[in-house]
Amino acid sequence: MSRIELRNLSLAYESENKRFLALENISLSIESGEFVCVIGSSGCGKSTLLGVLEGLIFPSSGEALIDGVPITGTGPERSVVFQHYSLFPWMNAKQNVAFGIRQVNNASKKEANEIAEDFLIRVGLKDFMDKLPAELSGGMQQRVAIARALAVNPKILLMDEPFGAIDAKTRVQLQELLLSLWGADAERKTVVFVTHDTDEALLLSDRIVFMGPRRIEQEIHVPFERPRRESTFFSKPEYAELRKNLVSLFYRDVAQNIGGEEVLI
Amino acid sequence: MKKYILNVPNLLFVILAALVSFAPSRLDARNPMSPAFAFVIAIIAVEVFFLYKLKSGRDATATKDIAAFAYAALLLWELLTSKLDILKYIFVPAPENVFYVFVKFGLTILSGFERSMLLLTAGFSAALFFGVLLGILIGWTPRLRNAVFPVVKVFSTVPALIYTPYLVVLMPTFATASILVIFLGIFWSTLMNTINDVGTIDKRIIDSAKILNVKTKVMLFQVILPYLLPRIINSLSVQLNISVMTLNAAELIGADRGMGYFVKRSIDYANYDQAIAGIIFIAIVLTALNSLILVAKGKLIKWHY
Repeated sequence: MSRIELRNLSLAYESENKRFLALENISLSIESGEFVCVIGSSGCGKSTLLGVLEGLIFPSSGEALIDGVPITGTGPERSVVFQHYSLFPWMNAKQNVAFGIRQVNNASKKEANEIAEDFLIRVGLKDFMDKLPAELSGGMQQRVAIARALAVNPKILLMDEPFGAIDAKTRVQLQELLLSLWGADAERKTVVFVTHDTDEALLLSDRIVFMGPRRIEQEIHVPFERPRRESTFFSKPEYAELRKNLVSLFYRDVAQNIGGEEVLI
Repeated sequence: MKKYILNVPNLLFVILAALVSFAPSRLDARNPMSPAFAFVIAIIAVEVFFLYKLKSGRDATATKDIAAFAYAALLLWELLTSKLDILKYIFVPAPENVFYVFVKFGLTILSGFERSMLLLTAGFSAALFFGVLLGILIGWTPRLRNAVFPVVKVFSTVPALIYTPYLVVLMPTFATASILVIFLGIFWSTLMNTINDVGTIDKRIIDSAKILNVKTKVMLFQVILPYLLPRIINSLSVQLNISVMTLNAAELIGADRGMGYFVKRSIDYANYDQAIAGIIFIAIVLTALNSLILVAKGKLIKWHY
């Protein structure tokens, strides 16, 4: 069980004499085992929304609940993969993963190392366990981050544009890796995945939550059966149709934001 | 092989060594000259170090330039004093005499070195330990930080040299006084820097640790401390130089032995050859300690911000 529910959630950043509303009246429920992508243009508040689920930012009003319990901070049932720089630069890949494990269960150093090795093998980093993050490519670093997030066996996986800074080819590999790891679990993890890439959202998710500035504008059901593979997926006509809708939402949004005068597509 | 032998520094080395060993000294007639062998050994040591650096160092041009400059300076010194007797001997002693001090007063210098190092290590490591420990604790606790930081800032602006004489009078022994002086000389700045560093630490590192559900103790000593370690080590050389400065200043006032005391007493008795030898010794010790810090940094820190 790991149901996420947001009720009338609003969040404002306040500094000395300014108040910036980042989220306004958000209501959303995500079922246990569901893969949801939150998509929207930069600055729409999607990362803030994820920050609330992470337990790092707190709403000004409304509620964020996991299985009916309000979020009061970070928790062992949730894991996070950030876009950048989430590994500790002084620890090698294995130490990074093992460090995460040892914070949530009482595993001995040896046990934690064994679990870490197992997960690093599963993300394809068998030969890179002793490398420091700076010695790994961006894609490999994200593999380590994914291994660290999954190694604690969370119920909920929160991902904040994890592949946003990765080159296109590696991104495809990481998406497929993520799908296969997620699909391999008997009891699937609930995933909330923030992205601004429409193809990524369509490939990965059961449901796409499209955010305009501060608000959820539309929820789009993604009906394709799993397992999905990049190679066959993009040629489907239903895919083209959905993608067209999603992209048009994006551009309508952009057009509204800049007054509808400068969009020449 | 050719490039190690045929160069300007080596030419100067040969000239200098020959001049010291074989040319008659004009000073000899009026003033007692010390045996030249200590100076010759020093020159040979410089040459050995130069050849080692030339072989293992990266920048051969810089190595040669530095060596050439060093030999030129020694040559000038040798010529102006013992060979031509142009400078007033009493104020600018000949290099032969200066380096002979290491032979004649070797034991005194070593015992002073031992004493100074003891005081330095005690004061320096205590200041570093408490400065970093308290800095992390205070820096991590917003209320404490807001209350303490302005006060620390005030304290850290007062140079320890100013109240050194007072502390020497105040404390029961000179050893405790100088340890305290060294401690205060770098404690406040270490504390201030650490509080500052904790406050400006990359938020993504803190967030990553938070989402891994670390306990406060782990956050402070397994995340923040290792993250700050390169900065702490980088600051060590500056802190070390400040410590040696405050220690030497304290030694000018109340010591009975020590590196700074040796220089000060020599000046008091107008033994300028001893004073210069003492200054050279302090320079060598400081340089050695600084290289030690660099080596430690290379071994400990394998990553960059």
